[in-house]
Amino acid sequence: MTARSGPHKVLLAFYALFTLAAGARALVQLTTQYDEAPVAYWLSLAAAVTYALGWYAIREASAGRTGFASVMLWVELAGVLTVGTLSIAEPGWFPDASVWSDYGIGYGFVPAVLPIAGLLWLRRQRAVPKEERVLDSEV
Amino acid sequence: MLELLLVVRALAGLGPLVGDDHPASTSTYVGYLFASICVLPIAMKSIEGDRAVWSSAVVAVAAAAIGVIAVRLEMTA
Repeated sequence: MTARSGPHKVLLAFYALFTLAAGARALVQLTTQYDEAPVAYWLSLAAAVTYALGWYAIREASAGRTGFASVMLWVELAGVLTVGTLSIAEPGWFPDASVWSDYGIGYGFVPAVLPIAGLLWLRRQRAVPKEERVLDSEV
Repeated sequence: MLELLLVVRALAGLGPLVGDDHPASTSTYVGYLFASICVLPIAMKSIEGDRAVWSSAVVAVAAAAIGVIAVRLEMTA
């Protein structure tokens, strides 16, 4: 059972959107211009997979099963920070941009904000007892 | 009404594909065109029967995304 309403709906919308955006971008670039920046394009595909898993994790967490999300959102944050830092420290590895290049500058830094917003939501989600959470979702 | 507008969007979007002036990257263009048509219906579906304030935020996110997609669509056409 999924809680019907609440901030997780907005998170889910962002994750779905970024799965589509990063996935489509990675597939187009991997298939049409692979040799230009294979590392960056594979990392974009990894970002797309991360968003798909993040979407699933948040949907599960909204139904009370927070276990997967509490791992997945940290993985995502680590990914953004690692790729963002590498893109600045080792620009030679990134002849073309990846989704998480410069901490997601190409997407208005939303990729850097998303896992943090997700983790804040998750912390509140875990703090609220289940009965109250159901009431909260009906406001 | 929304569906009607999206059909118009889809038909108008086919213009650059069949005309003489092809998009630089056809797959990129088709991707953006596809997204510009699908994002709003999916967003509306996800908040069906839900009148809470958060569902308005979902529509806002989708609308902002459509704005970005529309700009990119014009850039790639």
